[in-house]
Amino acid sequence: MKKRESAGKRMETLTNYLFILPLLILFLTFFAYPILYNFIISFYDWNGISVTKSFAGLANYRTVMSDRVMKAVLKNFVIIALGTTLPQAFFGIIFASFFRRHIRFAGFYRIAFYLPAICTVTIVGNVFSKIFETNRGYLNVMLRSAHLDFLCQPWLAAPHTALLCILFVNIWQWTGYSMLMYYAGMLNIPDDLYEAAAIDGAGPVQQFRHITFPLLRGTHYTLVILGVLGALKCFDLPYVLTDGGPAHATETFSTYIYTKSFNTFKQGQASAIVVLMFMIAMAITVIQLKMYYKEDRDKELAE
Amino acid sequence: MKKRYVCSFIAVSAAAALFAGCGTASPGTEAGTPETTSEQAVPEQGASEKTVIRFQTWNPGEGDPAKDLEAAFEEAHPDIDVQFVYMPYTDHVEKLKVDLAAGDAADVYGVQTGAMYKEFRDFEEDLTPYMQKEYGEDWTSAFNEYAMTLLKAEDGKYYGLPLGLTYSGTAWANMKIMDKYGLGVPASYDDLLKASAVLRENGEYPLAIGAKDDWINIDTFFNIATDINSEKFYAALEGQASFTDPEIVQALQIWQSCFTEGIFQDGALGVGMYNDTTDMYQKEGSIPMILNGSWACGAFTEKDEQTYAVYNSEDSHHEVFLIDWNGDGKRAPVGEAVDVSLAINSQSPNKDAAWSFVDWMIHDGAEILVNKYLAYCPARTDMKLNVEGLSENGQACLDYIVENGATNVAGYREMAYPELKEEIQTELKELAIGDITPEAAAEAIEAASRAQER
Repeated sequence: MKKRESAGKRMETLTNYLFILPLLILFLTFFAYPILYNFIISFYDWNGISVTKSFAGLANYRTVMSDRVMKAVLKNFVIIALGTTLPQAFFGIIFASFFRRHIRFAGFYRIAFYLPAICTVTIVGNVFSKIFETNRGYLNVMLRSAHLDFLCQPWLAAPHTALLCILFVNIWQWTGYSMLMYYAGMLNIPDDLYEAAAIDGAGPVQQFRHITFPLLRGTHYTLVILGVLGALKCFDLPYVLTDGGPAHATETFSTYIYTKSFNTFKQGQASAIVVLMFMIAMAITVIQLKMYYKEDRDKELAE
Repeated sequence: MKKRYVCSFIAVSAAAALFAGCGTASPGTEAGTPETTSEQAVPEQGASEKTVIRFQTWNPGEGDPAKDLEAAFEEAHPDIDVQFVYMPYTDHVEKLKVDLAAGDAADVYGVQTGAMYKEFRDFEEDLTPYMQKEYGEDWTSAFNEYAMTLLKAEDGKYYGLPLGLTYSGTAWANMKIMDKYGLGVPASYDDLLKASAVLRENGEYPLAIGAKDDWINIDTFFNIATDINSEKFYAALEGQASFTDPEIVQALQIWQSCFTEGIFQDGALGVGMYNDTTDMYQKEGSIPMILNGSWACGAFTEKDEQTYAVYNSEDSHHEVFLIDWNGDGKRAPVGEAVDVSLAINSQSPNKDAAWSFVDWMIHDGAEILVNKYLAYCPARTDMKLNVEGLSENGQACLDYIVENGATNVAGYREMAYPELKEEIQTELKELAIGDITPEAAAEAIEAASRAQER
């Protein structure tokens, strides 16, 4: 009897494993294997094409760590992460607060603010390259016609303004997404809390400070994680607008990996950068999730 | 219990289906290729079987030339169906890398001389025996001599064959605009300086360059450096001379001056060549001068309304010119490139058909591309230049290019050292921004040159 029971249990366990098998295969094939393969390649001197590769030990890591462009890449990552995530969250929560107050045409505004988020980055990049062009670009033409010539800049051609342009376009495109996330979060806050606060004499600012903002903690963390990881993976906008330039001023991890892999045919070094990028992403995610769950009731998850 | 068996069966089937989905097409069939539909790949019942080959390149571009080539080739070879796959250069390299690793790359592909030609060697078929069998031992004499030296590998074999030739270092002037301000074609740096000042005063662009694109920066810097001392410059590229040599430093200084003294337009580093800058010259006809290679001559044969009006209207007049950068009284020499060379994928299951295509392309195909579309200058010595419908002005520009291609070539346009090239590109942009001195740039390039494996 017991034997039959244990055989039944084994069968059940096996059946359960069979159910997760397709997902497991997908995970191993498309996630685990590429990561592992990339890690292996990072120890080889390989052009990404040849049949043979030669073992290089830690040489690729040493080269990458001493590369001056990598310093610019790391600096740009920090600037893009902070310079886009925080303004997007700030404007997102402000706009969401407005739209929650049932103002006229709120639905239209919500759609209008969200529209840039669904635009293809290539299109956005091309449009903004026409706006930021130095001689005939719309921005400088407008400034000149307003007799504000002193404000005209070679926007995409100077290192400091080129990075600012990247930040601006990124904020423009993704603030609508933050707004929508906050708006959805706000809809989950019960009205009773606001009514009770109003009875206690709390004004709109106090209500926002003591009810809305703390109860959107989950959204804050989600947006920060997504924003920071987005900054880490940032490729399309710098590629289209500035091609990582001028002189690496807007170079990001992804654009530099692309250059290493496809322009200089240094696949080993490109893979070493990917490994570093992966480690940074892991570290940031772990820290942020730890911080999030530390304050959470479900402390088990933090352990 | 029955339910459990049914569930198990479904799970196993799902896993099997997943494996089936991951399967690759067997070699020789085209069913697995992304550009080919299954309908196209499977020969019709009763119809004679056609060999399907894929040709992937970034040049010649999509449009009429491709359609003409495809139709003409399939008429000459009814047993072969050629599928053209076009994409920009960087995408082309990217796709090839991935497809070659997956064993699913095009049968014939375009290769750029220099780094790409060298790095893809494992997947380039040696074409020497094919040419020897078809045209005898002396087959190389039928091609431009310098082009063949660019294609001759270290082992003495040829892994690519030239479709056409292009020359870098030229500049173009729209004389309709230049004449308006009483300006002639600038012959020297000083002429350029004066012309740029006049044009700027009148609200016009000076000499336009899309310096966001590294290739035009490299072309222009090569042109300046070879004007000063081409032997020394190429020796430095090959690691046999130093980049800190005063003459190369002078070239870097001239390059920087083009930005600081207003010869190039403001904000040049923020715009690319194609199509940000070229459209203004070729389609709008709204800027007086542009730096661009010999291939820009093809604009004379463009049929689209805007370009046709810019190049072929009654009052249109363009000049192609080379600049005497260092003021020694001699115009700068041009750089030569095989543009493009064709390689056969060494893994191709259809090598015979691929060879038929390459052989046809370097002969009949090149004839169409050169004499109908002026995509390149001829790479074959026996090809006569007789471009259809080329205006008198266009012919004069072409004659100038051909003359310089025959008598005034400094050396190669594409170097085979990607890391050195990357460093030169970076330093040229640093100089353009003004962040660095020519001496410091030369030091940095020299350091990269010493580290470069050759």
